[in-house]
Amino acid sequence: MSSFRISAVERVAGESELIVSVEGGDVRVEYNSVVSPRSFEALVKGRKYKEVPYIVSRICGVCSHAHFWASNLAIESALGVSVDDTTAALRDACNKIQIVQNHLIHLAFLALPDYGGGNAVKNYLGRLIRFNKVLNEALQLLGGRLTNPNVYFPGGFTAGVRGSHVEKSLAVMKGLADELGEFVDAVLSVEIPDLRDPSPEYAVLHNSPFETVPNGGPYVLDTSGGSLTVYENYRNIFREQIHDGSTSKKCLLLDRVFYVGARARLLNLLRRGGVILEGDLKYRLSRYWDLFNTNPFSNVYAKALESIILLKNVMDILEGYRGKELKSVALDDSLKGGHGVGIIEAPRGLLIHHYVIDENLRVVNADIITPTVMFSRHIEVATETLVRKLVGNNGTVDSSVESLAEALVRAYDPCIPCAVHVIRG
Amino acid sequence: MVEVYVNGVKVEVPPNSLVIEAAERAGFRIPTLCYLQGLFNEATCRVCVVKVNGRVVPACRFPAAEGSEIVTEDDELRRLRRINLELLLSTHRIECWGCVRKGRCELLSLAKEMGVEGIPVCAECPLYGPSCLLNKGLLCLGALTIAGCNAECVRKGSPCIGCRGYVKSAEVWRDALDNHYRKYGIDVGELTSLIKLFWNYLPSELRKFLEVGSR
Repeated sequence: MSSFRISAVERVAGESELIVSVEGGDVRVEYNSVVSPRSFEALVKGRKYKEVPYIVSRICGVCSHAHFWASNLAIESALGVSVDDTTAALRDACNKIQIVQNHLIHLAFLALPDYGGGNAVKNYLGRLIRFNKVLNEALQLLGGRLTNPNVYFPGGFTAGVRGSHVEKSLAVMKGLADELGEFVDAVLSVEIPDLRDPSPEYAVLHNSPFETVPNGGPYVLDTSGGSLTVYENYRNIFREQIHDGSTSKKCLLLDRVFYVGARARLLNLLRRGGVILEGDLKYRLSRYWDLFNTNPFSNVYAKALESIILLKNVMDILEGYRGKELKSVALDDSLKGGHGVGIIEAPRGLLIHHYVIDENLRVVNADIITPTVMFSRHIEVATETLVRKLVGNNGTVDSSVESLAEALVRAYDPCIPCAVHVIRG
Repeated sequence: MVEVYVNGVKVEVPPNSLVIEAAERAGFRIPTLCYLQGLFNEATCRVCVVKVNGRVVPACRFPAAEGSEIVTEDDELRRLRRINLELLLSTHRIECWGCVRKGRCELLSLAKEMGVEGIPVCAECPLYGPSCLLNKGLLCLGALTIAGCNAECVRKGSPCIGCRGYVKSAEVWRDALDNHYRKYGIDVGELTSLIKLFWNYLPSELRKFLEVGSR
């Protein structure tokens, strides 16, 4: 076998294909999205700013809180509105819970079977379903609905969330962290294939998601080469490219191939001395420093460790707001338009929303860059390295490479429906 | 004792029992609005229709005779019950917020259970007057959307986007336009654009109505 094509490679949502061609020792990989465009950026044009978060949160059922929050942040930036600490913290808590939930689903049902972790999943299946249920309940209490939250607008919370919701969500999540620890141990005990990361460049939002993102921009971005300040210049930093055969764009950080997500976040946290971590967890995480630095497969470990860290973190945040009464707000329409950028850490990595709002408070332009767009090129170069390593003397690869390549793509947890764009050639 | 068969289940009831009593004894629930055991069985609501030996009869009025075969649930009965309920609702003003029951009544819960179209989300919404989201400048589709979600989003302070589809009754549309959208000064163009966004199209019957309404 010298070339192969894997259709429907990811298991989350949407369809993408991996095309690997091996010719004369030269390996070329293309990772293309084949989902038809969904036109959300066009849908929000002409809509009033208040409607936009409700529309864009429907981009994705598994990350609706992330899109909802990012669009709220962008709109607040555009209108020059700031929110109080409570609002910021509770939005952040919702996002963190959704990150943990995404990680658990990815690990248990999508990634672990690739590494022979079937037994671990089988042993924990009942508990995993319960974890998911508990996290769903907490999200519903804080966000109003399980998917597509409805309790906050640009500016703050609606009347629908009360201090008692914080209490209740804390109560449902009680004891979850200890139980989750066992599953995380099981994940960390699976063996991952060896691979040297060809492009160890990453980008994460400084101190997020471990600490609450302040109001709007400018944002500080940590990369492996140093920090960058990002706001309206984000297009100069995240350079999107159009590729034939793919309905989603692919993105470079300046001119370099990079990755985002759990591995990048933990690596950056370690680089900053594990600021929010204590004792055992800090030591445990530091043992993975080399692995996170060099092996793209280690994203699976990173997701497991991050879910523990974030769950503890979210409980701490909620403890601080226990019993506090939340004030509802309503923005009047005496605001002026403008343009604003919202950047957050979504479950799979950086998520950027940008809106231009006119004086009638309607959106005239929108731009959304999702994590899958960001790490698409990294998937390609990492798969190239993997296949190149396994090409035999006769210039062909055996069939086991196919499943390894598939596992590598899934280690990134790409989610396609967010990433598709209308591509004009 | 008299032996009857309810949905194939054999059950013994005292002579002169009603079909509804036999069904209850056999463990089957028959929906009803007007029947009160021992007090009222004039068969006025006709929601309790069942089939006895193939004939459609009101369960609260018809006696259970020896050997009767009673069917309490099938497609035809569901359709008939829904029609009877829709007829009842056609003369009932649905303003649950102004009602002493505040929407917690058998009529509304039965209508939801049977998928009766004709009750908008506004009927279930506790916000009205100054608290109505339309009054706060939020375009809410509650007045046109089929009830049954208990106005979940609206209670949380965010506008209804019509998840459950639109009510097909012209009465409801007129009411929605006169008492909600026009009252709060909502532009019909805005309304249709929102309907098109979340329902993917503007239903033709609704389009005619909105066009007439906007003149």
